[in-house]
Amino acid sequence: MTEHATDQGAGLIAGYDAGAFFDEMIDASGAARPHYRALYDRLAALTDDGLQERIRTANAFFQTQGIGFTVYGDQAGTDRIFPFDLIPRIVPADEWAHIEGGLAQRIRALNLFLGDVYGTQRILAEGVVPAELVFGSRNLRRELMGVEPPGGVYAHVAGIDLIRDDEGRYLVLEDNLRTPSGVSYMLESRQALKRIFASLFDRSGVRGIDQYPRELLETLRSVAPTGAGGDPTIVLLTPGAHNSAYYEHSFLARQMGIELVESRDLVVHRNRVFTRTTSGLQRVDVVYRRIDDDYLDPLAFRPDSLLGVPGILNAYRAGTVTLANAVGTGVADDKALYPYVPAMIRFYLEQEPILPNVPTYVGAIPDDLEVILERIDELVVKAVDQSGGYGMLIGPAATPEERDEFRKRVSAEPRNYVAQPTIALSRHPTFVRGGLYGCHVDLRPFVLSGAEGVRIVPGGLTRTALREGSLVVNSSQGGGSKDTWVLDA
Amino acid sequence: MLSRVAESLFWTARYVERAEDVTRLLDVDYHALLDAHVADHGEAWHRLVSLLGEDAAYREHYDAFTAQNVAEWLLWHDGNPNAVVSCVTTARENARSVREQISGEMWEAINGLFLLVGRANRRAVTRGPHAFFEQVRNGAHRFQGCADATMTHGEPYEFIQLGLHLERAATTVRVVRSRYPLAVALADDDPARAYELIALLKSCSAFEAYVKRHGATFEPLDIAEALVRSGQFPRAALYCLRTCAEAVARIAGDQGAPQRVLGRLCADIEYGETGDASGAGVAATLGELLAGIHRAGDALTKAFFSSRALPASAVSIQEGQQQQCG
Repeated sequence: MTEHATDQGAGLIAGYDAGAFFDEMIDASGAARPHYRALYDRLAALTDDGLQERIRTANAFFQTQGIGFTVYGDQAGTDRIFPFDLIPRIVPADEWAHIEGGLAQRIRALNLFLGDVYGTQRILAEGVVPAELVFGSRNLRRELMGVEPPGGVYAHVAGIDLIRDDEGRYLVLEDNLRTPSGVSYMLESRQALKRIFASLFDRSGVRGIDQYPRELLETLRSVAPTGAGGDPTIVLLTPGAHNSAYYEHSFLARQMGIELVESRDLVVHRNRVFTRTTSGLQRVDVVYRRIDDDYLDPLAFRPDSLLGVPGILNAYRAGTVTLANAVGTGVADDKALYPYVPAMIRFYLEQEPILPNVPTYVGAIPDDLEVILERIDELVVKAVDQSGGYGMLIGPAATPEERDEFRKRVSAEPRNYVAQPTIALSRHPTFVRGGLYGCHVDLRPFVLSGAEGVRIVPGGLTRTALREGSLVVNSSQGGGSKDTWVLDA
Repeated sequence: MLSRVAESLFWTARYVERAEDVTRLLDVDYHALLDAHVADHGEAWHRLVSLLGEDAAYREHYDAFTAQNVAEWLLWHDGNPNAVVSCVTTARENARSVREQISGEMWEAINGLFLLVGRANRRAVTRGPHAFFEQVRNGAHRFQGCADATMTHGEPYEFIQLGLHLERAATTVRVVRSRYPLAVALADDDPARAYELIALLKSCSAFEAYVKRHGATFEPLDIAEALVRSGQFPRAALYCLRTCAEAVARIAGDQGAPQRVLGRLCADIEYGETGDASGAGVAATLGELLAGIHRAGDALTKAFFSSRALPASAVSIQEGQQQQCG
């Protein structure tokens, strides 16, 4: 067996076992899929030394760039280097066109839904979405009823998580419409890969993603308040250096050439927002805020917040400043409302959804609740208002005690939980423990919505579950990342 | 530019300079006490601690002024906010919060200094400190040199210059105020007097510069004049305060409270009478100068930073909220 592998001159890739899952690189017959052919040949020709050298190059790149993220619960907020896999994930042009169309359609519907919820509530009146789910959402901000943001855009930056099932179909796993992160890893992974597989880039026709910061800036400009004039002042508001995504905040501010501000840099005077500068107060028009609604304004939300800007919500209501994302977008990515997104697409756009949802049982619906409690051992149970892989149970992998615990939690507060069948996520060859193994992957493209429409940079963050058999890909749960190549033909 | 950013740059530079100053003063006394016939080493160490203004805090932790205790206190002690390790840590924390403002080289320099001090084998350093002192000073010089050579000389750079030179002026004045009276109290022919004056010059890295100008004759008043009134020697009080005044003028023009305070200080030094050259007389004059430097610091804070620092008790709550967010 070993000799056979050596005969092919491909120690690494020839020993690779695609297993019983949908593999991104290898088809059912064991051959490389056409869009992976060049990469496959390259891997086959790669010696172990060559590979080790590339791993060192990648690690050195991430270390000197100081790219890390903070994991809570670790000692003293230690920065860890983001675990990065040097084998890229490749999406052919036709698949990307399908994804792009589906994402644009979905985010349009979600923005219309938000405008409707905070406006006339037509969709509730017509019974398409159950009103009790909307009014029961912890992330509905009643304070914002009747306030229309510039251009009618609520979710300016969205991260839509996609997965592929055992037949390779792309499904939407969840929408992140509040403060999605990870785009800096997408951009930095590309920088690293260009150093590692330079020649492969030349031949493969990989579409560029470096325009993301510019497109984000243009998106933010397009939604400046009408009074801002031709050159609006835009700032990025971060919770501070102890936040897990602080590196990304600083990175994006540098890339866009805008100020990175903390709450104490901002002050609200007569319903206008200013930065405190060495030459006095300077007017601010757009705040790209990476702070949760809860902490944004101690006068409006959590009164104990030390991260917020007192009075900023009133300035926003007065229309003197744009907040991106808008306040209250969390109602649309509430996991209990997720099952209704296809209905929203049909209702607002009169189109069939291009990207299907994962089937979902909603705790708040009595029939669904019964299914969740009975079949908890086959399902993935998620708390509706949590993200990042916190507060979830993977039924098949859980102990009986853990399942009982979740049954109790779900019965006590059914509105707080949804459940989905365990999907056999697609796998991708990934370099772990000295060899190539199939690891489950997802894909988070970043979708920008401005006054002039939707823009999607061709790519995204491919996250891998590095622990053997794990289905959880969040970076806070020990997942890693891959560069994602979208091909131009 | 943002007030918070200006303030962080100012304090980064100030704390890097302070770490270097404390290290240099410690180094000089370590070596001076090896060859000078100082009767009471304890008194000499005591003087160094009170020169840095930490007498009371020191006594809470130690009974006696010994080389080992003082070195531990000035390099590592948790109870000493001006210990080299806390200066470097504070400088790095400030730099970290404005990392996008400083050059990569500056960040590497400050981070390298932080790693050097953090990883030092403390016992080995206490046994043979000279090499360590030199590394700390090189680290600080590297940061300052990188600021000069790799950062745009715009407004953020001016705040770095302000922090560095205000700290440097204050240290020079403190050193002269502490050591000058001691030297003039000794008889002209007492060999200890020359040792003391040389130590004073070395404490300000001024030995070579002074000897070039005055030859190897050590007159207390000449030395005090050189360290306070020189417009050319980079650690002289006048040179440092002029540099501050120029930086402020580039930031905010020639109107404003910081400009007035700094301008008056420079004029007082340059045109003031020498007056009473006794130990007590010089100490009193320099005491006033030090108070003036503090006023300049307050004026800068008020004009540019207007900081709303959180009370210490709220800092950990804020950190917790930063972690929960997003």
